[in-house]
Amino acid sequence: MNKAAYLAELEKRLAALGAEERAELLSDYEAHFEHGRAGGWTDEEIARRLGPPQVVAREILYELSVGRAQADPTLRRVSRAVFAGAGLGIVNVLVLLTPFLIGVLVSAALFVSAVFLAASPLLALVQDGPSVGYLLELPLLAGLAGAGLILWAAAMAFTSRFVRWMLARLQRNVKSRGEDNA
Amino acid sequence: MNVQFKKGVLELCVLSLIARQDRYGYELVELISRNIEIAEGTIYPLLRRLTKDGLCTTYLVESMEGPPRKYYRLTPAGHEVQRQLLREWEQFVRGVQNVVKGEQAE
Repeated sequence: MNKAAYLAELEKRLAALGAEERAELLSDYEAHFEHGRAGGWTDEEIARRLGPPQVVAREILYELSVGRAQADPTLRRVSRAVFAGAGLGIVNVLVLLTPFLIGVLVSAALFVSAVFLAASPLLALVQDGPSVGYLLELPLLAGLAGAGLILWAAAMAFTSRFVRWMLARLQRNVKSRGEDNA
Repeated sequence: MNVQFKKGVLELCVLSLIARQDRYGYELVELISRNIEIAEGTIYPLLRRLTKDGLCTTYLVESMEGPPRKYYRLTPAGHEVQRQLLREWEQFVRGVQNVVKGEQAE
């Protein structure tokens, strides 16, 4: 792969970057090729030692997604970063994707249970109709609904803690991950 | 060397090289890849991150042979991080040495 092809491939893959940042990075790689040529290397050798542009781009996009998640730690941005990171190799699938999926499942289970508990007076009404038995069960149902609200608050707290924990994990991963993709 | 340690170590290498004197990107790649096998393409994103995090600053110098050189200079914050990483690294190496040679931790 020669310099022009390498840079074109890199540019294509870095479309998600801001124009200025992309231009700056590309100029770094362009200068790298020029320095390498001045040192007597062929484009092919320089490209081989840089590593495939796809891999370089994935690396850059991963850092970008973690930076964005850090600036605004929503579940959406954090999950994007997790998936960008998981694309970098099997080790990252284990240290990022697995805990992330477990956390999301637990979080979703908590929310679903909370909704069902909170809605239990309504659900019972639909099931039994407005009967005397329903009125007798009402105190119990009110208790269940209260438990549902408490569980909802717990689910919110769990999710926000989980997102922060995941973010810290991502930041560590960006800085000190091994190059299992290389 | 175990590949799992590489990326954190790469940051220490880059910071340590710039700590001694200002260097430009290609030069950093050469100095490091002479000693450690790396995917050279990953150095530039790392340099960008270090610059963004305020650990180093950059300036351009025109050159007779080849393109302008983008030099990296360590900031005081960068020196601080370099010392910290170096301490951690030395501690790690000592720990491994102790285990490997069967010596007790002090």
